[in-house]
Amino acid sequence: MGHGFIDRSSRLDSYVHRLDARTKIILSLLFVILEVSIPPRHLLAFVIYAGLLLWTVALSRVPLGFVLKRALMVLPFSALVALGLPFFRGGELIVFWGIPLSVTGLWMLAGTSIKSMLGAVAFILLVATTPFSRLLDGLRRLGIPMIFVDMLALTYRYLYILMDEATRLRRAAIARGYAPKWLPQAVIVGKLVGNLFIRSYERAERVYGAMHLRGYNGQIPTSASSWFPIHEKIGLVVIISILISVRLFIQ
Amino acid sequence: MHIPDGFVSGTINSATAAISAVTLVLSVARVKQECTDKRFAVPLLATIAAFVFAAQMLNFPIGGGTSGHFLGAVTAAALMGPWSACIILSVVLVIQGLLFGDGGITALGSNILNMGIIGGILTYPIVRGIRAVLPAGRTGYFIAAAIASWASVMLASSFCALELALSGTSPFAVAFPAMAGTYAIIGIGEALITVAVLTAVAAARPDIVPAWARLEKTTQSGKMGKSVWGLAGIGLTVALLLAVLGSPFASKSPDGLEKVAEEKGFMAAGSKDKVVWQNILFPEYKIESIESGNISTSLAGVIGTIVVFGFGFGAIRFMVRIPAKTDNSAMK
Repeated sequence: MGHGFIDRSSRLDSYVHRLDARTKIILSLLFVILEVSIPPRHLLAFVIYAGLLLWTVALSRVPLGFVLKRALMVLPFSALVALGLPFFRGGELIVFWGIPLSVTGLWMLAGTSIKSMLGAVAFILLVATTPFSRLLDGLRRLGIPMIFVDMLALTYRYLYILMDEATRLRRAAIARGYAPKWLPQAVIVGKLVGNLFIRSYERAERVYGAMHLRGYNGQIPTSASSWFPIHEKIGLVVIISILISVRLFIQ
Repeated sequence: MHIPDGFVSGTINSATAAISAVTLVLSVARVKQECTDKRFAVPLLATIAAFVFAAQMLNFPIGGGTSGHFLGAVTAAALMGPWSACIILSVVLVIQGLLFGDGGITALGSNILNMGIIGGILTYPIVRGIRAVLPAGRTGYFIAAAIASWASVMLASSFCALELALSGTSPFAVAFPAMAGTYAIIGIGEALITVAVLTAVAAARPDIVPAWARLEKTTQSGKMGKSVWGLAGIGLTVALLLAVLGSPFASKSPDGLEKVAEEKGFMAAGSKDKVVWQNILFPEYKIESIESGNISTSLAGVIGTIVVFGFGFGAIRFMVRIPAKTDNSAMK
């Protein structure tokens, strides 16, 4: 079935795609930690960070529309939490079309919206330029315990299969006339979810049986350690120092 | 309820990340210790994590065209045990944050604390506590699961509001009503779904439900006993106390109108802003506080609590009859 596979563009070829997964993980994480810590009024720092990020997107040849569409995921939470801030926060007020708005609240709304978008875009770019298996390999080499890496790998393996299963269950229910309108009908969704649970559990039993037959002993085998190229290490240090100096000196 | 990047401060994120990391390591140790076939644990937990992810796709209607989705914390805890549930939900949150931009990477610690640890582990004692008071048997089991599901969603959203308030992003008085109000209703859907899932699984594969074997032995009680009403009374009293004592505390930030009144000189008494929490990373952020209208807020809190309690109790009574009627129809 047609899923918008998130790492669809990860098999493209570009400079960003060819980088070691570790380089990209460290840079994405540092980028987000630093951009999140910028005070809302330091607009220039945000502009530089956004510029660097967009430049990387362009360099990676991943379609910008694809990245932005994915990043819109953060909006519902912002709407629930941040949209009310200009009306409630105290301090200095400006009147806009007859409505008093708090300046601090407006900065807060702008700050959280920009930060959440930048964070989302950075990680969507990471996943869009790195096949998931290589991303997991990078995580493992960066010291994430094997049990979590294995679990992420298997979850990802069965994610789309079970999403298809859920879609089939819902389609079958709709074919039998299920058209929910009010809250107590959530019980029917519960029955579908229960059915999905049993199918998932039984799939896990079959999968484990098959893995067992092929000699699985609690560890998924991985390839030998790979070389971390020296020019990537140098590039990593350069970009990290740019990011940190922008954060520290530009206000 | 997935917090994106930029909403929670660095200090709070570091603290929640530390709590989450320690709890996860503990959970892994407990699961390794408890399970009979250790090699089955990784594929099983991974598949159930994929299941939780897929189940969150199935939206349920709330009314007025809006819909909510299932969280799955209590379902996972009831079917897989609390420690496994914590691991499962954390894996789901990592995948959602990493692959789908749903929940920020820097806020991962907070999200795991709110949904994985509180939803998966902390609701387990709630289930135990309620079942100790209720008559043994399936009815008690389902009521406990329903209340715990509702509580898991409410606690998660309250903690979310608390983290936002401590970060200085949104005053508790703004974030808490928005979050708790929305999730008080979504929580009812969560409770209905949890009970329906447990019913369906118990009908088709009773061997999977850990508590089921013990429930089979005890006599089935058809009606709600007197202790249910006793428990409901205790719950309502606690909730009302919290409403009376808690809501004035929650409403110490001025809204826009109050501020205007103040500046234009409508308010006779001067009120001073006070820095309650100041963050190292965000020196500009602070929580302002003034005292006003304690009694009216308490009253509003009490009325709100009674309305929500009545709705919730009615929904649970409505729901408890369902397992008896359609016990195995889901699987045929």
